[in-house]
Amino acid sequence: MSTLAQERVADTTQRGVVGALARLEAARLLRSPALWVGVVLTVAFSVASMQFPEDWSGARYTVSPGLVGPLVICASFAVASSFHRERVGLAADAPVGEATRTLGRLTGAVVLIGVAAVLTAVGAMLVRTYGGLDLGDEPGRTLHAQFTAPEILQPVCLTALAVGVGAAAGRRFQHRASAMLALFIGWFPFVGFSWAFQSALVTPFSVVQVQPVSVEVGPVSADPLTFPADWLLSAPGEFQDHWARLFVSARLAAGHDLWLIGLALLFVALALPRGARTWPTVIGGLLAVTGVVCQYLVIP
Amino acid sequence: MSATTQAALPTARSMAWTPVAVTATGLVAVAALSRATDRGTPLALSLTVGALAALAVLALRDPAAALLAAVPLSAWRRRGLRLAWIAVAVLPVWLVVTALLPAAGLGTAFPALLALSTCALAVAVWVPDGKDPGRAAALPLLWVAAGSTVGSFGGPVGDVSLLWREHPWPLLAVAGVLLAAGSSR
Amino acid sequence: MTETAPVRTALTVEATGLVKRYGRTAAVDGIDLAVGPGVLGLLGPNGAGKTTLLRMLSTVLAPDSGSLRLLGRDPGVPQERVEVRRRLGYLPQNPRLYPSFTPLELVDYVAVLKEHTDVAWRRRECTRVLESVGMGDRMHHRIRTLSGGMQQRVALAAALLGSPELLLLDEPATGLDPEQRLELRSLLATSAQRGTVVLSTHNTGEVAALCHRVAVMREGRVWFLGTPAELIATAEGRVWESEDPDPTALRTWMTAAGTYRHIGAPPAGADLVAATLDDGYLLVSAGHQ
Repeated sequence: MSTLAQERVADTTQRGVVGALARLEAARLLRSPALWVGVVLTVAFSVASMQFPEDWSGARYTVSPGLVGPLVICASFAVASSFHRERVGLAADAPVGEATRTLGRLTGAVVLIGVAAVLTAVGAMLVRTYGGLDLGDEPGRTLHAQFTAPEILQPVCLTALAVGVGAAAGRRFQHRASAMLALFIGWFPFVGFSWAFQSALVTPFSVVQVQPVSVEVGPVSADPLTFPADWLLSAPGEFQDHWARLFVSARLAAGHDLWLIGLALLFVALALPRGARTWPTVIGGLLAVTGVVCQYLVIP
Repeated sequence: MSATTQAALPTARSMAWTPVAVTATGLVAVAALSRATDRGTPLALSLTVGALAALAVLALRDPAAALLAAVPLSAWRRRGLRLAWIAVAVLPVWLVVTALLPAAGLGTAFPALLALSTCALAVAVWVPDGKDPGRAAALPLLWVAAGSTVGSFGGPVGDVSLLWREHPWPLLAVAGVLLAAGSSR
Repeated sequence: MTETAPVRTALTVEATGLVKRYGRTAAVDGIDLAVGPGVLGLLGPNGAGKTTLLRMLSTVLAPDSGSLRLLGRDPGVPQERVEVRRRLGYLPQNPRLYPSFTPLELVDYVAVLKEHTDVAWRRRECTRVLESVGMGDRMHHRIRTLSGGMQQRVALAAALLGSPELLLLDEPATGLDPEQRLELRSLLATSAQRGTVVLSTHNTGEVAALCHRVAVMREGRVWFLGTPAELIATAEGRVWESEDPDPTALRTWMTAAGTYRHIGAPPAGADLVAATLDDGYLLVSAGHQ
């Protein structure tokens, strides 16, 4: 057999191995109790958020991105468990290298992104059926706010980040329990504090992006009728002493999705063996920086 | 010098300090973020309580436990040494976090930390033979997560999820009894 | 270290009706065992209950029922258990160690936990046991840098601390090369002169070379207890060799020479051969004596 033919056979074999590993991992992840705990909690919180009366106009719209939190955290737990198995020296003598095995595990973890996509699609359809959500205060208010496509994609990108973070934690922490603890402490504030990133200055660095972004446009004494009619407004009240514009932007959400994908790739690079880290690091870094820059360009 | 005293330093060396360092850094960062934004104190405090309680349980993990299982110095004393070390390590973290956070809620936080830690330790000592007691570290984390998410819903579920914060002393008493009962295991 | 008056007894281990269950499974199911000085080998297939029995004998695991006396004391009584622990050495199966310690630090730590508080004595004893297992030249290396066999020897050194009267070893030869196995045999023979060694193993060669008595376990019970010669005798006249396999035999397998060895009734054209300890063990562990 010629060298070229041998390389082709090796290439086909590697692809076959990645596919076989991916199927095994996907099946294992789908059986993971952590995943289904996340799914159940996300669904339960989503249902609960629709049952309770809104504390303020736009509460449901604002809360919605964070509802995927349990799924994201639990998905990263499941992936961390999967990648922690890589630390066991099983089949260390096999011709399939660590990079191939990691690729197989990552490909298998795509099933989690699929689960998130299905849940998100169902949620988006329900919001559409519901006729949209309330957003803003009079005179700048709508009762039919719909999530833009990039906003709808956010849970999917978040799950991709969860896969990357889980992979890195599972592969790099010596003890599984330590990995879980680090993941919990890492995720919990970003999901729980998501509203802390609502101010324009820090919103590009948020993990769970909560739109609308609030931009101060006038003092309490300002006449809201002088603001452009197409602005959504937030009136002065208990939590703010000014009129603010509620800025909802598909481009901002798209930039944020890019940032999330970039971050996911950077974490994936951490899970890979040294020799295979360069490209995910470069591409992830570029995407993350581009995502942040795009968001700053969009925010008024 | 007694055997327990002589065992103190090597016990400290045998413990895994990386998770403690990572957790401490994370908690201080969250507290600093909370202070900077002037929001989220209850959440930061809950996270601190849960994470430190989890660290207490993780401190019980001893890779060489099987080799040391039949030594005359009891498992309880060896665990006591580990807990003493982890207490020494997390105390500065606790002080820094509570100094960063506004005073609201701090009064009940320490009893809550004691209660959650004791609960988790009680579960750890009752973990069946052959299972990893470190799994009990999930208890405080899940409990604070439940308190932060469903606590406001009210009802029995909401009440139970906030038990560690609202009624730490009775919880501490019950967990203490369970812990004492399991100490000879 | 608190000393109490030694209880003189010829038997180191006296177990009657010992039972340990995990859920519905009886890992040890009514074992009667009386062990005196010398080396007792525990043979049996995986899951036979050897490790569970050793853990009970090492006071790590309390039996669900039955009575157990070790070194003349009842390990069910906390104070007596501590006293027993002061006099026994235990090497668990596949022990894990602290990677950041050196062998000397680890063995010294174990010595402290065995309540040896005299620093000078400890230093001498730790050096002695490490040298006795052939780790004298590596006692200052980090454990993470040692091979699996070396780590096993470090754990064995920890079990040998203080020349215990009762030494319990769960598969101690794991990871050791043939030369180290020979050294282990010599070490255990020396230990057996001072007290009792109970050795769980899959290696019948070790049992033949070292053990004064052998117990064959299966399904949580002791099916045979006697000398290695008696175990061999159970298979005498029942081991055959032929050119063809015999599916009706109790056990049949191909030898390196390409012939088939059978245990049981003689197949047609087979030659009777001398039984070995392996044959005796295979016969007993298959439930036929």
